[in-house]
Amino acid sequence: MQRFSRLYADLDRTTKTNAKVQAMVDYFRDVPPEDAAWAVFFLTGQRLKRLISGRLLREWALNATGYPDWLVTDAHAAVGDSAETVSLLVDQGLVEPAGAARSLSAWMEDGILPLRGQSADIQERTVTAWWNHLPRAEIFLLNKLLTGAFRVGVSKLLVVRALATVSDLPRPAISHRLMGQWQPTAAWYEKLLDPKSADDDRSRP
Amino acid sequence: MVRDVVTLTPKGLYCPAGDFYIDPWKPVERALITHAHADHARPGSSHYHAAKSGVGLLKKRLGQDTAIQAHAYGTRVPLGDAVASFHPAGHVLGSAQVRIEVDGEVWVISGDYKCDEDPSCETFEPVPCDVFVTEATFALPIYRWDPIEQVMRELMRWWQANAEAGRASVVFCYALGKAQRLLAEIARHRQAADRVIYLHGAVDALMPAYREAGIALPETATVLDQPKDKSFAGELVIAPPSAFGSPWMQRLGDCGTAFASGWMRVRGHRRRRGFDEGFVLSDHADWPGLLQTIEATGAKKVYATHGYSDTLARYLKESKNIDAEPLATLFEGEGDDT
Repeated sequence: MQRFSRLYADLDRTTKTNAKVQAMVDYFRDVPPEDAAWAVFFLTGQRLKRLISGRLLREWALNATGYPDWLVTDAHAAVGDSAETVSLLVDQGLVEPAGAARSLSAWMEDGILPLRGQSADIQERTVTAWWNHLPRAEIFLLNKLLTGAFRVGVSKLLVVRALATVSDLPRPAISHRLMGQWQPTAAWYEKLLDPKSADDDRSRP
Repeated sequence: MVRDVVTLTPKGLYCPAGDFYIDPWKPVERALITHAHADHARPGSSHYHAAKSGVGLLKKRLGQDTAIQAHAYGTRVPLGDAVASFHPAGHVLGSAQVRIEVDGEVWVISGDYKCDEDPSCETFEPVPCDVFVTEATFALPIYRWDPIEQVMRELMRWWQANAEAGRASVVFCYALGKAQRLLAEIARHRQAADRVIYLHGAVDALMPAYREAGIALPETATVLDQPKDKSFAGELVIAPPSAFGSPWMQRLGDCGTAFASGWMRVRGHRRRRGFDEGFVLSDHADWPGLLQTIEATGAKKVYATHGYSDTLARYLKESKNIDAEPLATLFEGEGDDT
């Protein structure tokens, strides 16, 4: 997730579209297809159904830090966003993740998605343990993904531009392949960028 | 604060026993000044007292002819029935906490302070007291500063990336204190060895006071004094926030911009300001710094002023069992635009 966190920071800090496209191109070239697939999922504005509410996240932060309720409320009022407030409150000042770093796809498939259906108690213990092992920027992203509030300041058009650059395919082909329902898997991503996989393009007007 | 060592009056914090004010916001007969920022050092008073190493900056702010009595840190200064002394606040060069003793009771007015080490000024020292008047600019637990080495590494990387892209790097920050701290930190980095750092005129004007105080700083030059054909690509420039978006910036050509402030810890502040990058660098104490300092003073009573004073006072009262209340002053702390 470190690499995805860096992409998020790169996209967040600039308003220049060329810089945003370049940041995505660099990312897609850097990561394995299973991570790129999840990144395309989030960058194109698709969202997971909310796993954890912002209120619950703040409650866990309260339990983790021992701060009084009203102080966390004051902090939330100053920041204006639960995921960020919590990341600032529980931050241990780590620069790198403690222990083994997990890729974005591993986070999604082995960490975040399996939380669904777990008891609140297990969810709290799991998430609190993650907070203790991550640098602040990654806690922020994790919280955003958990609350289903992850948004990033790029249009779908820019994502298409970046993918077209990476694959050397025309933008309309990419755009077309991104339509409809798809699952963010390595196989799907490889097909998305495959120059020969023109079967789904045939129906393109 | 009736019949207290220090009371709050329309002109500012006043010590009746010594007949003097601390950082008054109106002209008075005798003023003790904690530091040279404009919300603390105001012109028009008849006699000023300040810490010795801050006098150069104060005269720059108040006028060269201003009568300022300079005192070494820790020296006891009898004033009426009170004894005052100045103690390092670690905020900017020559910044001080004011300790006031009357009939064995000790009050300390913190002014602005930070606990972290800073090569451009004297290091903060907690002063034991009965009553502590503390600033509360960043008194929320979301404000915790990363180590300065880490912030500087990020800043150096950003400078290098801009240089590789053929851009200048412009850091906006307080002209007094923050700019010189940044310069002193830059001087410690090998990447900056033999480099000239370019300054906006407002920053340059305050440099002599720091150089005269013997602070190790890199070579600097002002942007506007450079020949017309000078390219700033790859250079580092330091300017006050008011210069952001001003015609002055046109001289720099293509540039990356950054704001260095404690407020940059919150993403919303960073994005609203429109800078490319935000570096979390403050000359105020963070949340743990405030709490550690208050504990170290051993104060039985704490007044919290400016910033999140209500939050700090309530936390001290309810969670730390310290008698505390907010105090409404006209100090501004780390304002967004100074």
